[in-house]
Amino acid sequence: MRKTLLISAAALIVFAGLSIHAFQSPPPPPAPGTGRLIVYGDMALFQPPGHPENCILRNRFKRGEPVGWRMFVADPSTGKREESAQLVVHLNVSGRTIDIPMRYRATERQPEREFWVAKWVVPQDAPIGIIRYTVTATDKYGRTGEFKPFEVQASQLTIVE
Amino acid sequence: MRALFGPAAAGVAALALAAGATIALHGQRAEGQAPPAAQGRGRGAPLPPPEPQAGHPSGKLIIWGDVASFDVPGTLPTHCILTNRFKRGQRMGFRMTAIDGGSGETENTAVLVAHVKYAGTTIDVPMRWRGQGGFPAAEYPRQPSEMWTGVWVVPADAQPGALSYTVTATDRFGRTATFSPFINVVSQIAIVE
Repeated sequence: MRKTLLISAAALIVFAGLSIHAFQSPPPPPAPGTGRLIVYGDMALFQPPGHPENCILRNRFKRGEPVGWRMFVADPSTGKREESAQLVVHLNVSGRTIDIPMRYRATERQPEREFWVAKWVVPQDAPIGIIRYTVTATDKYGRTGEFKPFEVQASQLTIVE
Repeated sequence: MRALFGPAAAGVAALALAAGATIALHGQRAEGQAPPAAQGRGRGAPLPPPEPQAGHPSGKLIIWGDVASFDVPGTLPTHCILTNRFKRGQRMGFRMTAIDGGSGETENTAVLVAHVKYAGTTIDVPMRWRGQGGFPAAEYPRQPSEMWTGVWVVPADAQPGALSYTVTATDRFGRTATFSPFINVVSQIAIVE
């Protein structure tokens, strides 16, 4: 009897321990204002409004075409937009870095456009091939974040003939 | 008393052993991360779950990505270029990543599904993590890739027009996330002639 009770108690302790291990609650999210901003977005052709190809997704551009970036910044603890963020696109063209500040796109008339945009017209002397870029963000809490496109060669910003 | 406790003790012990075995199995799977050499571009039998990441979960699960042409073979000039316009028969590729918000690292336990609204129904496109599977380094220089991919082939009888899609994710901690593309109409995925 005593032996049975001891086995039962030992088994219960082991099971309770395993249960706690398996179902322990996750740690609390980072406090507001801490952590790194999550920056993400895409690239599109930024022709003037009304142009049939305005805002179609692209990564291959000819000289003279307008490259457009659209970015979103998420607070890491809430996943929601961090509206105080300031974003800059950093292009590496022929070994030189070109910084293009982004502007927040939503307006009173178009409040649903909760993202940041920037445009760069490919210069006539731009080299043919891949142009690397990143996008950085900083918010009012001093948090920073960086976006890099997926590392797939064919998807990089590419200047074509 | 003995008759009552005997089966109860045996039951509890069996339960405890089963739980222990489950966790032990999970640990074995987590250690087996080396992808099989014959996995190629990730096709074939599913790979074991990835190794748990220290410090996860922290903050929100956040997912983002884009769409691209997944034309095959990979040597085609349109393979993996960004586009939102697809012809019938073309392979529409969804590329996503999942981030553990607090650490900013890839949350490699996330399970992602793209949901395409097409012809009055929702088509679920399961996505595959590309962090395992031995993808060619020339094409994916940053290894392991932080990307999940899914493919939907545009049906041959599809009508031209815009479609909408979302991507949802769930991770091993029960966190969920939903991604919707930017709202511009022209940027939505579209079937063209």
